[in-house]
Amino acid sequence: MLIALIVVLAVVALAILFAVLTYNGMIRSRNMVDEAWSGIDVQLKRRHDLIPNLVEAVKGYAAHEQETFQAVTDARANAISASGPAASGAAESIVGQALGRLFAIAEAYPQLRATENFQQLQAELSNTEDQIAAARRIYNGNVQSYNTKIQVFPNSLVAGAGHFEAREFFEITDAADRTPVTVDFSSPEPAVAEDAPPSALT
Amino acid sequence: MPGPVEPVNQGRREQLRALTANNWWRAAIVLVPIVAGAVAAAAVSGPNPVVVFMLVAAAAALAGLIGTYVLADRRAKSAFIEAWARSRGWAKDTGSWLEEATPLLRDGDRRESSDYVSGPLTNDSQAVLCHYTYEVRHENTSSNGGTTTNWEAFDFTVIETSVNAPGIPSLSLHPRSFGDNRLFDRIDTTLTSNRVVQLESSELEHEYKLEVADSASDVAVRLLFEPAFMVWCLDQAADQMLLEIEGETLVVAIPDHSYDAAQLDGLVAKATTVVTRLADARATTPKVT
Repeated sequence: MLIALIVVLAVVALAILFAVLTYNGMIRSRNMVDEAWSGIDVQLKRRHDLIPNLVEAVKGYAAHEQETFQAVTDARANAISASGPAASGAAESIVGQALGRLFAIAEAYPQLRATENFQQLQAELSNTEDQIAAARRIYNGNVQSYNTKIQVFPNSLVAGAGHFEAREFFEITDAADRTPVTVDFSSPEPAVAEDAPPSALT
Repeated sequence: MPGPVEPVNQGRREQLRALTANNWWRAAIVLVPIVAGAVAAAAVSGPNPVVVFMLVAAAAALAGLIGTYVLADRRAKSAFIEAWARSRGWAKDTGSWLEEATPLLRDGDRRESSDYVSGPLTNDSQAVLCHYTYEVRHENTSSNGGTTTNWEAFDFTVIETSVNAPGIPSLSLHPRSFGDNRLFDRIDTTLTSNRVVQLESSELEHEYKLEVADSASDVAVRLLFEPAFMVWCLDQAADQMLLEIEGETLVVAIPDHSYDAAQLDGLVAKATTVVTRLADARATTPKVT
Protein backbone atom coordinates (compact mmCIF):
# COMPACT_ATOMS: atom_id res chain seq x y z
CA MET A 1 0.00 0.00 0.00
CA LEU A 2 2.78 2.40 1.02
CA ILE A 3 4.82 1.51 -2.06
CA ALA A 4 1.82 2.20 -4.31
CA LEU A 5 1.32 5.55 -2.63
CA ILE A 6 5.00 6.44 -3.11
CA VAL A 7 4.81 5.46 -6.78
CA VAL A 8 1.70 7.58 -7.31
CA LEU A 9 3.28 10.56 -5.55
CA ALA A 10 6.47 10.16 -7.60
CA VAL A 11 4.48 10.08 -10.85
CA VAL A 12 2.50 13.17 -9.81
CA ALA A 13 5.70 14.98 -8.83
CA LEU A 14 7.29 14.10 -12.17
CA ALA A 15 4.20 15.29 -14.05
CA ILE A 16 4.24 18.60 -12.16
CA LEU A 17 7.96 19.01 -12.80
CA PHE A 18 7.44 18.30 -16.52
CA ALA A 19 4.57 20.81 -16.69
CA VAL A 20 6.58 23.53 -14.96
CA LEU A 21 9.66 23.02 -17.13
CA THR A 22 7.58 22.87 -20.32
CA TYR A 23 5.60 25.96 -19.34
CA ASN A 24 8.78 27.91 -18.59
CA GLY A 25 10.32 26.76 -21.86
CA MET A 26 7.29 27.98 -23.78
CA ILE A 27 7.34 31.34 -22.03
CA ARG A 28 11.00 31.66 -22.91
CA SER A 29 10.39 30.74 -26.55
CA ARG A 30 7.49 33.18 -26.78
CA ASN A 31 9.64 35.96 -25.35
CA MET A 32 12.32 35.18 -27.95
CA VAL A 33 9.70 35.46 -30.70
CA ASP A 34 8.62 38.85 -29.32
CA GLU A 35 12.22 40.01 -29.01
CA ALA A 36 12.97 38.97 -32.58
CA TRP A 37 9.84 40.76 -33.77
CA SER A 38 10.93 43.95 -32.04
CA GLY A 39 14.22 43.60 -33.97
CA ILE A 40 12.29 43.52 -37.25
CA ASP A 41 10.15 46.42 -36.10
CA VAL A 42 13.22 48.58 -35.49
CA GLN A 43 14.52 47.88 -38.99
CA LEU A 44 11.11 48.45 -40.61
CA LYS A 45 10.83 51.79 -38.83
CA ARG A 46 14.28 52.71 -40.11
CA ARG A 47 13.16 51.80 -43.61
CA HIS A 48 9.97 53.85 -43.29
CA ASP A 49 12.02 56.83 -42.09
CA LEU A 50 14.20 56.68 -45.19
CA ILE A 51 11.32 56.68 -47.66
CA PRO A 52 10.24 60.38 -47.41
CA ASN A 53 13.84 61.47 -48.00
CA LEU A 54 14.09 59.20 -51.01
CA VAL A 55 10.83 60.51 -52.44
CA GLU A 56 11.98 64.09 -51.92
CA ALA A 57 15.31 63.35 -53.59
CA VAL A 58 13.63 61.88 -56.69
CA LYS A 59 10.92 64.57 -56.70
CA GLY A 60 13.57 67.20 -57.26
CA TYR A 61 14.34 65.66 -60.66
CA ALA A 62 11.03 64.09 -61.73
CA ALA A 63 8.29 66.20 -60.23
CA HIS A 64 5.78 64.99 -62.84
CA GLU A 65 5.79 61.38 -61.51
CA GLN A 66 3.16 62.29 -58.91
CA GLU A 67 1.35 58.96 -59.23
CA THR A 68 4.43 56.96 -58.24
CA PHE A 69 5.26 59.30 -55.35
CA GLN A 70 1.70 59.00 -54.09
CA ALA A 71 1.84 55.21 -54.38
CA VAL A 72 5.07 55.11 -52.33
CA THR A 73 3.64 57.48 -49.72
CA ASP A 74 0.40 55.48 -49.45
CA ALA A 75 2.26 52.18 -49.25
CA ARG A 76 4.45 53.61 -46.49
CA ALA A 77 1.42 54.88 -44.56
CA ASN A 78 -0.26 51.47 -44.85
CA ALA A 79 2.91 49.72 -43.72
CA ILE A 80 3.23 51.98 -40.68
CA SER A 81 -0.37 51.34 -39.65
CA ALA A 82 -0.18 47.57 -40.28
CA SER A 83 0.03 45.46 -37.16
CA GLY A 84 1.14 41.87 -36.79
CA PRO A 85 3.55 39.88 -38.92
CA ALA A 86 1.09 38.81 -41.64
CA ALA A 87 -0.35 42.30 -42.21
CA SER A 88 3.08 43.90 -42.00
CA GLY A 89 4.51 41.38 -44.44
CA ALA A 90 1.79 42.11 -46.99
CA ALA A 91 2.14 45.88 -46.53
CA GLU A 92 5.94 45.71 -46.79
CA SER A 93 5.63 43.78 -50.05
CA ILE A 94 3.66 46.70 -51.50
CA VAL A 95 6.26 49.15 -50.19
CA GLY A 96 8.95 47.07 -51.91
CA GLN A 97 7.11 47.19 -55.21
CA ALA A 98 6.47 50.94 -54.94
CA LEU A 99 10.16 51.52 -54.14
CA GLY A 100 11.06 49.42 -57.14
CA ARG A 101 9.07 51.78 -59.35
CA LEU A 102 10.68 54.78 -57.65
CA PHE A 103 14.17 53.44 -58.39
CA ALA A 104 13.10 52.70 -61.96
CA ILE A 105 12.30 56.40 -62.34
CA ALA A 106 15.61 57.37 -60.73
CA GLU A 107 17.41 55.20 -63.32
CA ALA A 108 16.33 57.68 -66.01
CA TYR A 109 18.11 60.58 -64.27
CA PRO A 110 21.90 60.06 -64.19
CA GLN A 111 22.39 63.40 -62.43
CA LEU A 112 20.12 62.28 -59.61
CA ARG A 113 21.96 58.95 -59.29
CA ALA A 114 25.25 60.83 -59.13
CA THR A 115 24.24 62.97 -56.16
CA GLU A 116 25.85 62.07 -52.87
CA ASN A 117 22.54 62.34 -51.02
CA PHE A 118 20.78 59.85 -53.28
CA GLN A 119 23.67 57.40 -53.19
CA GLN A 120 23.78 57.60 -49.42
CA LEU A 121 20.04 57.02 -49.14
CA GLN A 122 20.25 54.10 -51.53
CA ALA A 123 23.13 52.55 -49.54
CA GLU A 124 21.27 53.03 -46.27
CA LEU A 125 18.13 51.46 -47.72
CA SER A 126 20.11 48.53 -49.06
CA ASN A 127 21.79 48.02 -45.68
CA THR A 128 18.42 48.25 -43.92
CA GLU A 129 16.91 45.69 -46.26
CA ASP A 130 19.82 43.33 -45.56
CA GLN A 131 19.15 43.75 -41.85
CA ILE A 132 15.42 43.15 -42.37
CA ALA A 133 16.18 39.96 -44.30
CA ALA A 134 18.47 38.77 -41.49
CA ALA A 135 16.02 39.76 -38.75
CA ARG A 136 13.25 37.99 -40.68
CA ARG A 137 15.26 34.75 -40.76
CA ILE A 138 15.86 34.99 -37.03
CA TYR A 139 12.21 35.77 -36.31
CA ASN A 140 10.89 32.97 -38.51
CA GLY A 141 13.39 30.54 -36.92
CA ASN A 142 12.09 31.49 -33.50
CA VAL A 143 8.46 31.17 -34.63
CA GLN A 144 9.13 27.75 -36.08
CA SER A 145 10.81 26.60 -32.87
CA TYR A 146 8.03 28.06 -30.70
CA ASN A 147 5.18 26.69 -32.81
CA THR A 148 6.74 23.23 -32.83
CA LYS A 149 7.23 23.40 -29.08
CA ILE A 150 3.58 24.19 -28.37
CA GLN A 151 2.11 21.82 -30.94
CA VAL A 152 3.92 18.54 -30.20
CA PHE A 153 2.45 16.08 -27.73
CA PRO A 154 2.48 16.17 -24.71
CA ASN A 155 3.57 19.84 -24.75
CA SER A 156 0.27 20.66 -26.44
CA LEU A 157 -1.53 19.81 -23.19
CA VAL A 158 0.49 22.42 -21.30
CA ALA A 159 0.16 24.88 -24.20
CA GLY A 160 -3.62 24.45 -24.23
CA ALA A 161 -3.88 25.02 -20.50
CA GLY A 162 -1.56 28.03 -20.68
CA HIS A 163 -3.32 29.55 -23.72
CA PHE A 164 -0.22 29.56 -25.87
CA GLU A 165 -1.14 30.28 -29.45
CA ALA A 166 0.82 29.66 -32.63
CA ARG A 167 2.53 32.73 -34.06
CA GLU A 168 2.51 33.92 -37.65
CA PHE A 169 5.59 33.87 -39.84
CA PHE A 170 6.77 37.17 -41.27
CA GLU A 171 6.78 36.73 -45.01
CA ILE A 172 7.41 39.46 -47.49
CA THR A 173 5.79 38.07 -50.58
CA ASP A 174 7.39 39.40 -53.70
CA ALA A 175 5.10 39.53 -56.71
CA ALA A 176 8.10 38.66 -58.91
CA ASP A 177 8.45 35.35 -57.07
CA ARG A 178 4.82 34.50 -57.78
CA THR A 179 4.94 35.26 -61.48
CA PRO A 180 5.16 32.06 -63.49
CA VAL A 181 8.42 31.72 -65.39
CA THR A 182 7.92 31.36 -69.14
CA VAL A 183 10.31 28.85 -70.63
CA ASP A 184 10.70 28.75 -74.40
CA PHE A 185 12.06 25.36 -75.43
CA SER A 186 12.50 26.47 -79.01
CA SER A 187 15.38 28.80 -78.14
CA PRO A 188 18.75 27.64 -76.75
CA GLU A 189 18.47 29.91 -73.66
CA PRO A 190 15.37 29.76 -71.42
CA ALA A 191 13.51 33.06 -71.61
CA VAL A 192 12.24 34.48 -68.36
CA ALA A 193 9.03 36.54 -68.41
CA GLU A 194 9.98 40.16 -68.71
CA ASP A 195 6.81 41.62 -67.28
CA ALA A 196 7.77 40.68 -63.73
CA PRO A 197 7.73 43.87 -61.64
CA PRO A 198 11.01 44.97 -60.10
CA SER A 199 11.44 44.52 -56.41
CA ALA A 200 13.51 46.44 -53.93
CA LEU A 201 13.26 43.93 -51.12
CA THR A 202 14.31 40.35 -51.66
CA MET B 1 41.82 36.20 -57.85
CA PRO B 2 44.56 34.04 -56.34
CA GLY B 3 45.83 31.24 -58.51
CA PRO B 4 45.37 27.52 -57.87
CA VAL B 5 47.76 25.75 -55.53
CA GLU B 6 49.05 22.25 -56.21
CA PRO B 7 47.13 19.87 -53.94
CA VAL B 8 48.96 17.93 -51.22
CA ASN B 9 48.30 14.57 -52.95
CA GLN B 10 50.14 15.70 -56.05
CA GLY B 11 52.94 17.26 -54.02
CA ARG B 12 53.34 14.06 -52.03
CA ARG B 13 53.62 12.00 -55.23
CA GLU B 14 56.30 14.35 -56.50
CA GLN B 15 58.19 14.23 -53.21
CA LEU B 16 58.04 10.42 -53.20
CA ARG B 17 59.28 10.33 -56.78
CA ALA B 18 62.14 12.68 -55.91
CA LEU B 19 63.13 10.74 -52.79
CA THR B 20 63.02 7.32 -54.40
CA ALA B 21 64.95 8.54 -57.45
CA ASN B 22 67.87 9.39 -55.18
CA ASN B 23 70.71 6.85 -55.41
CA TRP B 24 71.46 7.19 -51.71
CA TRP B 25 67.88 6.27 -50.90
CA ARG B 26 67.97 3.27 -53.24
CA ALA B 27 71.20 2.06 -51.70
CA ALA B 28 69.90 2.58 -48.18
CA ILE B 29 66.58 0.79 -48.74
CA VAL B 30 68.52 -2.31 -49.91
CA LEU B 31 71.61 -2.22 -47.70
CA VAL B 32 70.14 -1.14 -44.37
CA PRO B 33 67.69 -4.10 -44.16
CA ILE B 34 70.46 -6.51 -45.17
CA VAL B 35 72.82 -5.15 -42.54
CA ALA B 36 70.09 -5.04 -39.91
CA GLY B 37 69.05 -8.61 -40.73
CA ALA B 38 72.64 -9.84 -40.63
CA VAL B 39 73.37 -8.15 -37.30
CA ALA B 40 70.16 -9.57 -35.82
CA ALA B 41 70.90 -13.07 -37.13
CA ALA B 42 74.39 -12.93 -35.66
CA ALA B 43 73.25 -11.49 -32.35
CA VAL B 44 70.31 -13.81 -31.75
CA SER B 45 71.47 -17.34 -31.05
CA GLY B 46 68.28 -18.96 -32.31
CA PRO B 47 67.74 -22.28 -34.07
CA ASN B 48 67.16 -20.70 -37.47
CA PRO B 49 69.25 -17.58 -38.25
CA VAL B 50 67.84 -17.35 -41.80
CA VAL B 51 64.30 -16.75 -40.47
CA VAL B 52 65.60 -14.09 -38.08
CA PHE B 53 67.48 -12.46 -40.93
CA MET B 54 64.39 -12.45 -43.18
CA LEU B 55 62.06 -11.07 -40.49
CA VAL B 56 64.37 -8.28 -39.38
CA ALA B 57 65.29 -7.34 -42.97
CA ALA B 58 61.58 -7.18 -43.95
CA ALA B 59 60.75 -5.09 -40.87
CA ALA B 60 63.63 -2.69 -41.61
CA ALA B 61 62.58 -2.37 -45.27
CA LEU B 62 58.97 -1.69 -44.24
CA ALA B 63 60.08 0.90 -41.67
CA GLY B 64 62.18 2.57 -44.37
CA LEU B 65 59.23 2.75 -46.77
CA ILE B 66 56.90 4.11 -44.10
CA GLY B 67 59.53 6.65 -43.06
CA THR B 68 59.94 7.73 -46.68
CA TYR B 69 56.17 8.19 -47.03
CA VAL B 70 55.97 10.20 -43.80
CA LEU B 71 58.86 12.41 -44.90
CA ALA B 72 57.31 13.00 -48.34
CA ASP B 73 53.95 13.76 -46.74
CA ARG B 74 55.45 16.26 -44.31
CA ARG B 75 57.42 18.01 -47.04
CA ALA B 76 54.38 18.11 -49.36
CA LYS B 77 52.19 19.63 -46.64
CA SER B 78 54.78 22.20 -45.73
CA ALA B 79 55.28 23.09 -49.42
CA PHE B 80 51.52 23.37 -49.89
CA ILE B 81 51.09 25.83 -47.04
CA GLU B 82 53.99 27.94 -48.27
CA ALA B 83 52.67 27.91 -51.86
CA TRP B 84 49.18 28.81 -50.67
CA ALA B 85 50.56 31.68 -48.58
CA ARG B 86 52.78 32.98 -51.39
CA SER B 87 49.93 32.96 -53.92
CA ARG B 88 47.78 35.03 -51.50
CA GLY B 89 50.43 37.60 -50.71
CA TRP B 90 51.20 35.93 -47.37
CA ALA B 91 54.56 34.63 -46.22
CA LYS B 92 56.12 32.09 -43.89
CA ASP B 93 55.99 33.56 -40.40
CA THR B 94 58.90 33.61 -38.06
CA GLY B 95 57.40 34.54 -34.75
CA SER B 96 54.35 36.77 -34.48
CA TRP B 97 52.19 33.91 -33.16
CA LEU B 98 51.05 34.46 -29.57
CA GLU B 99 51.00 31.26 -27.54
CA GLU B 100 48.12 30.65 -25.11
CA ALA B 101 46.42 33.92 -26.04
CA THR B 102 42.84 32.59 -25.82
CA PRO B 103 41.13 29.67 -24.04
CA LEU B 104 41.40 27.43 -27.13
CA LEU B 105 45.15 28.01 -27.23
CA ARG B 106 45.43 27.11 -23.53
CA ASP B 107 43.25 24.02 -23.70
CA GLY B 108 44.44 20.48 -23.00
CA ASP B 109 47.48 19.13 -21.18
CA ARG B 110 49.96 19.76 -23.96
CA ARG B 111 49.89 21.81 -27.15
CA GLU B 112 51.78 22.23 -30.36
CA SER B 113 51.45 24.37 -33.46
CA SER B 114 53.16 24.40 -36.84
CA ASP B 115 53.01 25.69 -40.42
CA TYR B 116 52.92 29.38 -39.46
CA VAL B 117 52.17 31.83 -42.27
CA SER B 118 51.15 35.45 -41.92
CA GLY B 119 49.68 38.16 -44.08
CA PRO B 120 47.14 40.96 -44.31
CA LEU B 121 43.49 40.40 -43.46
CA THR B 122 42.19 43.90 -44.06
CA ASN B 123 44.01 47.13 -44.82
CA ASP B 124 45.17 47.62 -41.27
CA SER B 125 45.36 44.18 -39.72
CA GLN B 126 47.87 41.37 -40.01
CA ALA B 127 47.07 37.78 -39.14
CA VAL B 128 48.91 34.52 -38.50
CA LEU B 129 47.52 31.21 -39.69
CA CYS B 130 48.78 27.90 -38.35
CA HIS B 131 47.89 24.31 -37.58
CA TYR B 132 47.29 23.86 -33.89
CA THR B 133 46.76 20.75 -31.77
CA TYR B 134 45.98 20.38 -28.13
CA GLU B 135 46.05 17.02 -26.42
CA VAL B 136 44.17 15.81 -23.39
CA ARG B 137 45.75 13.17 -21.15
CA HIS B 138 43.63 10.19 -20.10
CA GLU B 139 45.04 7.92 -17.43
CA ASN B 140 43.56 4.46 -17.04
CA THR B 141 44.31 2.19 -14.15
CA SER B 142 44.01 -1.51 -14.83
CA SER B 143 42.81 -4.15 -12.37
CA ASN B 144 46.39 -5.08 -11.42
CA GLY B 145 47.22 -1.48 -10.52
CA GLY B 146 49.13 -0.57 -13.68
CA THR B 147 48.52 2.83 -15.20
CA THR B 148 48.39 3.57 -18.90
CA THR B 149 48.34 7.07 -20.36
CA ASN B 150 46.52 7.90 -23.57
CA TRP B 151 46.60 11.23 -25.35
CA GLU B 152 43.50 12.43 -27.19
CA ALA B 153 44.38 15.00 -29.86
CA PHE B 154 42.17 17.86 -31.07
CA ASP B 155 43.36 19.47 -34.30
CA PHE B 156 42.47 22.93 -35.55
CA THR B 157 43.43 25.34 -38.28
CA VAL B 158 43.62 28.71 -36.61
CA ILE B 159 43.89 32.35 -37.57
CA GLU B 160 45.10 34.75 -34.92
CA THR B 161 44.99 38.52 -35.25
CA SER B 162 44.83 41.56 -33.03
CA VAL B 163 41.56 43.44 -32.61
CA ASN B 164 40.07 46.18 -30.55
CA ALA B 165 36.77 45.19 -28.96
CA PRO B 166 35.83 47.81 -26.38
CA GLY B 167 33.43 46.54 -23.73
CA ILE B 168 34.22 42.88 -24.53
CA PRO B 169 37.25 41.72 -22.52
CA SER B 170 36.61 38.14 -23.55
CA LEU B 171 34.13 36.33 -25.76
CA SER B 172 33.84 32.83 -27.10
CA LEU B 173 31.45 31.48 -29.70
CA HIS B 174 31.76 27.70 -29.84
CA PRO B 175 29.65 25.21 -31.76
CA ARG B 176 27.55 23.18 -29.38
CA SER B 177 28.66 19.60 -29.11
CA PHE B 178 26.91 16.53 -27.80
CA GLY B 179 26.52 16.90 -24.05
CA ASP B 180 26.93 20.66 -24.22
CA ASN B 181 23.26 21.16 -23.59
CA ARG B 182 21.60 24.51 -23.01
CA LEU B 183 20.37 23.14 -19.68
CA PHE B 184 23.91 23.53 -18.36
CA ASP B 185 24.28 27.15 -19.49
CA ARG B 186 22.90 28.47 -16.23
CA ILE B 187 25.29 26.29 -14.23
CA ASP B 188 28.21 27.55 -16.35
CA THR B 189 27.11 31.12 -15.78
CA THR B 190 26.92 30.60 -12.02
CA LEU B 191 30.13 28.66 -11.55
CA THR B 192 32.52 30.49 -13.88
CA SER B 193 33.69 34.05 -14.37
CA ASN B 194 31.89 34.03 -17.73
CA ARG B 195 28.23 34.22 -18.53
CA VAL B 196 26.31 32.58 -21.33
CA VAL B 197 24.55 35.20 -23.44
CA GLN B 198 21.15 34.47 -24.92
CA LEU B 199 20.51 36.54 -28.00
CA GLU B 200 17.18 36.72 -29.79
CA SER B 201 17.88 33.83 -32.15
CA SER B 202 16.85 30.36 -30.99
CA GLU B 203 18.66 28.94 -34.01
CA LEU B 204 21.93 30.59 -32.95
CA GLU B 205 21.43 29.37 -29.40
CA HIS B 206 20.89 25.86 -30.72
CA GLU B 207 24.03 25.90 -32.87
CA TYR B 208 26.44 27.88 -30.70
CA LYS B 209 27.26 28.68 -27.12
CA LEU B 210 28.11 32.36 -26.73
CA GLU B 211 30.01 33.18 -23.57
CA VAL B 212 31.40 36.52 -22.49
CA ALA B 213 33.25 37.72 -19.41
CA ASP B 214 30.96 38.74 -16.55
CA SER B 215 32.34 42.26 -16.90
CA ALA B 216 31.48 42.49 -20.62
CA SER B 217 29.02 45.15 -21.69
CA ASP B 218 25.67 43.79 -22.87
CA VAL B 219 25.32 46.76 -25.21
CA ALA B 220 28.65 46.02 -26.88
CA VAL B 221 27.83 42.32 -27.29
CA ARG B 222 24.40 43.04 -28.77
CA LEU B 223 25.79 45.70 -31.10
CA LEU B 224 28.35 43.21 -32.34
CA PHE B 225 25.76 40.49 -32.86
CA GLU B 226 23.41 42.43 -35.09
CA PRO B 227 20.92 40.27 -37.05
CA ALA B 228 23.04 40.07 -40.20
CA PHE B 229 26.08 38.93 -38.19
CA MET B 230 24.01 36.32 -36.35
CA VAL B 231 22.78 34.95 -39.66
CA TRP B 232 26.35 34.93 -40.96
CA CYS B 233 27.46 32.96 -37.89
CA LEU B 234 24.62 30.49 -38.51
CA ASP B 235 25.84 30.05 -42.08
CA GLN B 236 29.28 29.12 -40.71
CA ALA B 237 27.89 26.43 -38.41
CA ALA B 238 28.37 23.76 -41.09
CA ASP B 239 32.12 24.43 -40.95
CA GLN B 240 32.10 24.16 -37.15
CA MET B 241 33.66 27.62 -36.95
CA LEU B 242 34.61 28.85 -33.53
CA LEU B 243 35.79 32.28 -32.53
CA GLU B 244 37.33 33.69 -29.41
CA ILE B 245 38.34 37.16 -28.33
CA GLU B 246 40.52 37.79 -25.31
CA GLY B 247 42.10 41.13 -24.65
CA GLU B 248 43.28 42.29 -28.02
CA THR B 249 43.53 38.88 -29.64
CA LEU B 250 40.99 37.34 -31.96
CA VAL B 251 41.14 33.67 -32.85
CA VAL B 252 39.00 32.13 -35.57
CA ALA B 253 39.34 28.38 -36.04
CA ILE B 254 37.94 25.37 -37.83
CA PRO B 255 38.49 21.75 -36.81
CA ASP B 256 41.24 19.59 -38.34
CA HIS B 257 44.50 20.56 -39.97
CA SER B 258 43.34 21.85 -43.30
CA TYR B 259 45.47 21.45 -46.41
CA ASP B 260 42.73 22.56 -48.77
CA ALA B 261 43.12 25.92 -50.51
CA ALA B 262 39.38 26.64 -50.59
CA GLN B 263 39.05 25.87 -46.88
CA LEU B 264 42.03 28.07 -45.99
CA ASP B 265 40.62 30.89 -48.15
CA GLY B 266 37.29 30.37 -46.39
CA LEU B 267 38.97 30.66 -42.99
CA VAL B 268 40.68 33.90 -44.03
CA ALA B 269 37.32 35.21 -45.28
CA LYS B 270 35.70 34.30 -41.95
CA ALA B 271 38.38 36.11 -39.97
CA THR B 272 38.11 39.13 -42.28
CA THR B 273 34.34 39.26 -41.75
CA VAL B 274 34.75 39.16 -37.97
CA VAL B 275 37.43 41.85 -37.99
CA THR B 276 35.31 44.07 -40.25
CA ARG B 277 32.23 43.49 -38.11
CA LEU B 278 34.17 44.38 -34.95
CA ALA B 279 35.34 47.61 -36.60
CA ASP B 280 31.78 48.47 -37.71
CA ALA B 281 30.39 47.71 -34.25
CA ARG B 282 33.13 49.84 -32.69
CA ALA B 283 32.17 52.72 -34.98
CA THR B 284 28.53 52.55 -33.89
CA THR B 285 29.14 51.85 -30.21
CA PRO B 286 28.28 54.70 -27.90
CA LYS B 287 30.91 55.17 -25.19
CA VAL B 288 31.12 51.77 -23.52
CA THR B 289 32.84 51.48 -20.17
